[in-house]
Amino acid sequence: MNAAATLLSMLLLLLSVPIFMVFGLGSATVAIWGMNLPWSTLIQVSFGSMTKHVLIAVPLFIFTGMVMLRGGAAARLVHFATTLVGHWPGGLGLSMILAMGFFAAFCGSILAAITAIGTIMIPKMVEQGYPKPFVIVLAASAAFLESLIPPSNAAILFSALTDVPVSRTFAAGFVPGLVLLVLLSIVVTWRCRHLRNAERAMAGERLSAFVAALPGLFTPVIILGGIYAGLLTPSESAAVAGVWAILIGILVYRELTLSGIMDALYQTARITAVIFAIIAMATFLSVVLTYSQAPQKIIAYFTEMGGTPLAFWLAVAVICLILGTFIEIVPVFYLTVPIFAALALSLGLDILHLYIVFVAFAGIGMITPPVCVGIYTAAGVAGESPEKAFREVPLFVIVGIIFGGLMIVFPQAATWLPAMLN
Amino acid sequence: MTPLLSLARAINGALEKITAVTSSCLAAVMVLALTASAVTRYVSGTGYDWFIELPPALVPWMVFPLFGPLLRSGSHIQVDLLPAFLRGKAAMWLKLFVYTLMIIGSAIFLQAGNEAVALFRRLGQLMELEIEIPIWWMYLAFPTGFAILALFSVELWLETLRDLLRPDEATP
Repeated sequence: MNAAATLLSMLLLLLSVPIFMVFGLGSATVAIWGMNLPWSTLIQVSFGSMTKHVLIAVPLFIFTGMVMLRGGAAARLVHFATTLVGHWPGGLGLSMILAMGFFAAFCGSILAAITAIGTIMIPKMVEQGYPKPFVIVLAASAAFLESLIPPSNAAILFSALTDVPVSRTFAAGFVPGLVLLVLLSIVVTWRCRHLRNAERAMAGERLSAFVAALPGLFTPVIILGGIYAGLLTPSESAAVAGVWAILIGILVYRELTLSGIMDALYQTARITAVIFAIIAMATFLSVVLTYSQAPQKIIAYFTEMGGTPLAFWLAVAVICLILGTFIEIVPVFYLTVPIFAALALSLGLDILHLYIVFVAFAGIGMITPPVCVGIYTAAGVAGESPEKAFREVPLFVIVGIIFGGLMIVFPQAATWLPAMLN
Repeated sequence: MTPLLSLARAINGALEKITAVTSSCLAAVMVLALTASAVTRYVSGTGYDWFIELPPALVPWMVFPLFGPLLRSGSHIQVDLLPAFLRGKAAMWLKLFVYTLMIIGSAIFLQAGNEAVALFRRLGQLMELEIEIPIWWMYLAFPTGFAILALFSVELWLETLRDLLRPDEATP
């Protein structure tokens, strides 16, 4: 029954059936007809996972990003980043990376970041002579900072799956986020060294750009300060950040309208529904895994084979790379993290180290065809065919693999800050 | 077939507007409730559990009813490998298969959801909120969402079938 359901699921995936339905039907086939579980159990567990309090932060951080985009904060952040590094070789590329880093500190949604920053930066960069395909892949790659720099939706999902406190997964992503930011900056500086802004921003211009961006830059202080000072839960901090974004959009920047807020709410609900559809149905799969004791069997098999930590990391890297190429990151989380986490714990590895290595390799899938939602979104913003951008992908995949390799070799990148904050 | 398709479009058009308003309002309530939770705790020192516990209970009603509109706009996550290679009628046959499967899947989950809701209703369990709400109200979002998904799937199925039956327009 299990083999038949797996084959059926693979077939349905290839036939481009929405993944939530594939998860639902495939897992239900095994659970209902193979294990004789009642529907009420499956649905109850599914609701239990969907309504975890920590997951409420996901829509709220998306909402904050959406409001920041519509309220003018994103434009100020981009301008500030440009005044800082725009005159350097490959300056606009560096500005985009930096602005993505700023945006990552209050949003957490990759697609929202590409839309917010890409809409402003991509036309500017193309106008200044940056190759469009390169700009598209750079935007998709830099947006991956959203998955690392706190608050990130990836951290929230990982916490929901492993019961690690969100404050720890948030902290674990900070240093790796900076490492990725530096790696991407090196690539842009090398690749676009002949492209730079003619004028360096004067100190006064920088100061005024900083002051204009300050309300937006203060948002991470509310979020992370609130969480680590013990004043707010992660979901409360996300909600307060959303209200803060509304206030600065209306009172400070005066660009946010009622229809803008309504649109932000609706887009938030839509993106949330896409993510939570998978969470709801993937939980059916976790029920099947639990009842069939699959993680325990895999651990026993791995131990019998003499599995070492190195073999484990290689397996994580290869599986995440392959799955990430064909499936988006959210389903990959629910397919693999329960098993990876059990294996990591049995090998005595730090679960936060697993989180970073997992995200590093699964995130490469954001830019690898055929399923590369980051590139499709950036190409949509740029008004270019995604296929034309694919030739630039290998360079950034190499950067991603180097980044992932560094994260495997240096677990301290993931574990140092959470330990300090403890 | 055209009257059927028109009827499906009219119903789904109305449903899309209703779900858009509902889901947006629920998102707004979540933002406000959790902000109020933080503010009241800061002001009063204790806060209200209700503000913290309400948003998770709203999630199913924000998520499940949007399944249908998301299917129509092609926003659900899927592996788009095969559609990239198929053209004309072959692509339409694939879409017809996907929508057929969506109808079958929605019907299965609708029935399953109804059974679960009936069970939870019989058990009479209440949510752990300050205001006691029957738990089946939350679970009702499941069959409702799949009923809406079934309706949207039927519309898209009819639309694809109509295009398939028009050979001149079907082939590029």
